[in-house]
Amino acid sequence: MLRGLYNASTAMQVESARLDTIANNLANAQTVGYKKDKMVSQSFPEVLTARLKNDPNAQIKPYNIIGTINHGVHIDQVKTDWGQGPLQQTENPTDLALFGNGFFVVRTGQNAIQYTRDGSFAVDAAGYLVDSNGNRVQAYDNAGFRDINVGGSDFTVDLSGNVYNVQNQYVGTMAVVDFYANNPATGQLEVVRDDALEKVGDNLYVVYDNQNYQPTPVATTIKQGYRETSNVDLNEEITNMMEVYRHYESAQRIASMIDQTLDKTVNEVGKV
Amino acid sequence: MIQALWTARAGLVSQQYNVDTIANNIANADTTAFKRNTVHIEDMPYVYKLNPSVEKPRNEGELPHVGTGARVVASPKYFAQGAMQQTERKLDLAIEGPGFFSVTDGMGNAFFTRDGNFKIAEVEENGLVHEYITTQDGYWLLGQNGLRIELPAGTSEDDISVSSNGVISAGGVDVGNLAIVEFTNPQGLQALGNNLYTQTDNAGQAAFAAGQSHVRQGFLESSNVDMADEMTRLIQAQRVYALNAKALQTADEMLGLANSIRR
Repeated sequence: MLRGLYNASTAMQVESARLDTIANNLANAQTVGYKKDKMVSQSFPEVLTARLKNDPNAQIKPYNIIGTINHGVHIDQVKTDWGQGPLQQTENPTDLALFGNGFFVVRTGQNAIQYTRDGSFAVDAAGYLVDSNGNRVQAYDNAGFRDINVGGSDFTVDLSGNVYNVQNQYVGTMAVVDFYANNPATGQLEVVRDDALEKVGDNLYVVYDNQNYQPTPVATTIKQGYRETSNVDLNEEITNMMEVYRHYESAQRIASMIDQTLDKTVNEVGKV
Repeated sequence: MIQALWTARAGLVSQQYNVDTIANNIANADTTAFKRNTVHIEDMPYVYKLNPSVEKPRNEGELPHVGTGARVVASPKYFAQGAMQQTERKLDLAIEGPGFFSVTDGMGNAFFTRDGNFKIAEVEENGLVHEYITTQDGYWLLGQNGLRIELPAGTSEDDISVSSNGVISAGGVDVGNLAIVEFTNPQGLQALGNNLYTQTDNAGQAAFAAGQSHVRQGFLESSNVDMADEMTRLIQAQRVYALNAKALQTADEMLGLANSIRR
């Protein structure tokens, strides 16, 4: 009986966390280059046995007898949907949009590299291309990443990412990278963005595991004068929100019902 | 749950800022040489939820992350050229290209403007009447020598001609060279109202225009606000605002439900 109360409560916890994700998607419906998140939940039993420190003797017998039961639900992962966001024309030369795979590379510290899909760049006082937080955007060549000096906001970037400064001289090629790894099962290269990248806010992504996930330059079309808008689909989010609300409501009803049943057990059973 | 409330609030605040900016653009749709603002929204830091199946995460990245909303980080101006509007007035000047007129308040401060709607101001100094070119608000137009541009006494507007590279002549005599300056990063200029900008560290050095900017006499640059574009963005902003309000309401109702488990 009390188990049911906790089951209903885990459902309520997960649904409220799911609402956090939906609210974040809605808040970022106009964020440049934002990729929507989706929360994946998982049922509980494996976890409960794991909590007993994998001791083979530590099984709760009654459940083995009546069969399996889910002891509720917990958050498993938050998955990012990498789908392309629609391009919006701005006619501003410092707005660049990626059309296809890959990420722009920005240098956030002395040697810290982070990645972004947000191509709403600017030019700093020294003439370098920077993102909205002042991090310098990187070009890529055989020597690795380096800053791009475009001289002023009137620079040009062609579709393949070659940057020409105000005087129309070639100054570098935009670094656009993605993450690949060999899949041991098939022996083929696969995109591993999900494992490699983590969102850190400010439209940036970071790689925590630099050993296993190396950026690979990719050839992606860059459109100047456009920006990639958020890929959040408002219809989808509002539908998910309705679903979350009703699911939460039904879990609340169950909790409430179990409470009433307990009330009867405690107060009415045995009453003469 | 409480997180969803604050996340939705962050969404509301950033969309409110968006609507404010769009409203300001629309209000300035007829302002001479107005440059439209845009809003740059970014996501806020992510927080980590516990996942019982990840017992000892090697780093935070392995845990499910949930965003905390969105915030406005910049409101850059787009310095795209506005349309040229013919006025046939001799002291209406428009800049074609990325430059700015330099003006001063007479107290040593320099300002920059693209609003070339000038007039002649007569000032009595040392018993003599001097004529200067000023903006409609009375800021003095500067020449390349850093001094105010003075006209010979008795010059009327119709005598003035300005060449495309900024040389002003009154009645056929050159009286000054307009200080038209360009910045590495015009978006770094700070807008002060009255169509004026002031220089900041982010804008870079002011350099005299090297052939990129041309002056057009008898024209004014109109605002670069595109009404259709602003209306589209207003509708989008309003819808997103409404949906964030809905998320806030849903979070509130869910809290209410939790509160009513035990009646």
